[in-house]
Amino acid sequence: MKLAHQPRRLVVLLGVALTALLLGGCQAVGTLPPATEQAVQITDLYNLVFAIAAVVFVLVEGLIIWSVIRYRRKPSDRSLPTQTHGNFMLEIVWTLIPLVTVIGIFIASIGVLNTVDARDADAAEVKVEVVGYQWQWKFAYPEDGIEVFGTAAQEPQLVVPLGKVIQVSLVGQDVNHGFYIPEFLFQRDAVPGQVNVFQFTPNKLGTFHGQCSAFCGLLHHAMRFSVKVVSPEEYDTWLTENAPKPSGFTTLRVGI
Amino acid sequence: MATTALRPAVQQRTSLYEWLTTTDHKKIGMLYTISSFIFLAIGGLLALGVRTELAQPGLQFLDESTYNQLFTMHASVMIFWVIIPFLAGLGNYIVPLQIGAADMAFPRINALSFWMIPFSGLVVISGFLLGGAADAGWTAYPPLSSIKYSPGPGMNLWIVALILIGTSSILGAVNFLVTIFRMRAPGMTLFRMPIMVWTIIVTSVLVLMGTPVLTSALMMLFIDRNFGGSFFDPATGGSAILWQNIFWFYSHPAVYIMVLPGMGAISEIIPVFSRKPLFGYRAFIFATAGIGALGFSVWAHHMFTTGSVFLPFFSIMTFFIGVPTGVKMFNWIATMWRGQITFKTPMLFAVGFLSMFLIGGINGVFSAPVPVDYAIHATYWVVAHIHYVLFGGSFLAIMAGFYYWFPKMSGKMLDEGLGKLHFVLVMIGLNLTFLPMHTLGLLGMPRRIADYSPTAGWNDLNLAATAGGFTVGISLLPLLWNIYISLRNGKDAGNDPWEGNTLEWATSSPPPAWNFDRLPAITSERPLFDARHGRSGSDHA
Repeated sequence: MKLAHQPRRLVVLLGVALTALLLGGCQAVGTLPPATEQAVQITDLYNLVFAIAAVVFVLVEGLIIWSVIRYRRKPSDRSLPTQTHGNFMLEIVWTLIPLVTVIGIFIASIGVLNTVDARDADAAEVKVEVVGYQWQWKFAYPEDGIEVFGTAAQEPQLVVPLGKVIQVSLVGQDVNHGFYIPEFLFQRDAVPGQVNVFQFTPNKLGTFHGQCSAFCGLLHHAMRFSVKVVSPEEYDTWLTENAPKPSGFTTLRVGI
Repeated sequence: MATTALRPAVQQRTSLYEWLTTTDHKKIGMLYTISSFIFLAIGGLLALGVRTELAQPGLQFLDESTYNQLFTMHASVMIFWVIIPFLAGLGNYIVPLQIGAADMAFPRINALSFWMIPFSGLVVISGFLLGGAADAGWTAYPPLSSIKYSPGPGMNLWIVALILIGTSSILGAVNFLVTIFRMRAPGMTLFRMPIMVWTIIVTSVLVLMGTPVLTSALMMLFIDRNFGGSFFDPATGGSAILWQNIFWFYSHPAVYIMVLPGMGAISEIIPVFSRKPLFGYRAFIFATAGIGALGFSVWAHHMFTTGSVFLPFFSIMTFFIGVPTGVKMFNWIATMWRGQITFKTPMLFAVGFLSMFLIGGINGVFSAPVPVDYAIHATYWVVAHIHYVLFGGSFLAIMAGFYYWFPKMSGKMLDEGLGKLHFVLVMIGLNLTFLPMHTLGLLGMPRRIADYSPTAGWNDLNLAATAGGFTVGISLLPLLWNIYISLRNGKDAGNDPWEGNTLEWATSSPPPAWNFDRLPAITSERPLFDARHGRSGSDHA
């Protein structure tokens, strides 16, 4: 039997593969720093799921590697190993444990979902309308008569005040688009013929990158925008500066 | 019924004409495999085109239009013309042998099922020469896929090709079911069937329930595009979301269509190379049926961000479907536990499947809690997930099955050294390609973008993924060389090179046209094990 040297080579191979895997895995496994109150909760939920996933991964991958190393066939293995066909109790246990675990995550996720998807029209302090079209965005503040159009040369900017409840009404003009801000850990589809409403509360000053996430044709990659979170005072100043002249809407070709 | 196979065409020379007109399930199975390898080369080159463009920011090699065609066609070709036919081909070759039958129930329909595949494949690819292939993504969401926003011929060709390949799948599923339920050898009761056969049953049921639904959606889209229908046009009373519901009602179960037969192959290989029976044979069958049943209740988890989904239901069902998959993982590990494992190439790929499919299962669970899905949906996280399932899962299982059954199909052994080289290269390549994509997704890189900003912080990870993609491409070279030299000077395989458990190893390699001269007694799910070691302790339950 020339089995003896083969398993060792295999162990080396598995070692190489696993090292590559771990190096890659450790590089970055967390979310971006959350920038809204909702995103903070999503990050917590993500971290919970990740912690459970990491335990499951290490446990099961460990069992696989252990079996592969420990139970390889030795030259002395002439007679058959014990022919185990199953173990009812064991199978019940390893069905119930995953079941209980996923129900637990589900319950935790529903709590977060209720916050993230909360839509209290009365609570909304700033209302904006977002329209996705091939291949840019329009941000409108109907109560203040301001509209911002993005162009290929200049991506549009949505300006919102810190700590206020911002309500977005989102719609697609031609095809589906996706309104996605990675640091908000949030996206919602902009669908033609259907207005999607959601709210968020920015809790961090700064400018946050956003981009279309639903494939929308030729220049899908160019549908970039940004959200600028400013203090409420700055926001009021911005509103005043960009308020429409009595004749009608102000159209900003560029953000600030 | 099986007269074609019983025809005494014994030692006839296999001319080209014979291959083109064959109704022998074994030859058809091999034709499926050859066709799948050709489309694999095409789908792989398309993927390398995508990865080459994404290696660094800026559009260096392709324009957006070409890029969109490449990723659309990569997914379509790999799903419909590589993975599904590869598995159907393995099933075609193996299922009649494993149940002790002489052929499939309907040999000529079997040939028709196969020939629709290369034909429809040519239809879909011809778009590249006729003014542009389909470029609305393999999901073809309207309104983008409507005549207004995708006016080229590629989209129509794509619809027609998918209807053809769907018809091929439906015919194949009926054929499998009739074969398995009507043509089993005496003694082969349902609970003595090999797991591979069980997974083909569940897969065929999924095809019969799901594929006609996809076909109806494709017809509606075709009517919208070409005859002014308004099923999916919001401007004239239709609904864009309707397509997503119908499409995913098929296309989520399609993931199980692409994974279950692979799990079947793995469940044949691990017991043989561990010298133990599959742990929990019946539990495994129920878990397979459970995945099939639950598979039809999770489709809308692809649509959590549309704002038109009853979220808690689809969330909890998505969580639930992880459970039977987990049960199977434990069954496989318990099969190896206290076994006597030898690491021939099929077993290496089987263990590779376990480790990689585990990742594909775990990173998929992140999409079940809806708020986490809001963060990762349509990002590279999802690209990583689907490739750990379809590449780390289905494709490694297909390779395990190919290395396992090649000696039966050809009568020759493949070279072990080249097999191991293939395994190492593919494992490094696939992890180098797809692991970084998790991070890219978390960093906010959306899928399906032709270009990205150089300041987004995605450069290094994309370069790594591209290097991995080329490693995967190179990994196929030792496989092809291995097939070539083994067919020419490979060692003779004999009837049963692996000490197999199931009936295909009871006949010669390759088997005669009529498959079996005589069958061993079938008193358990491991008739050959019983013949070799006696009946003691071999029955499950």
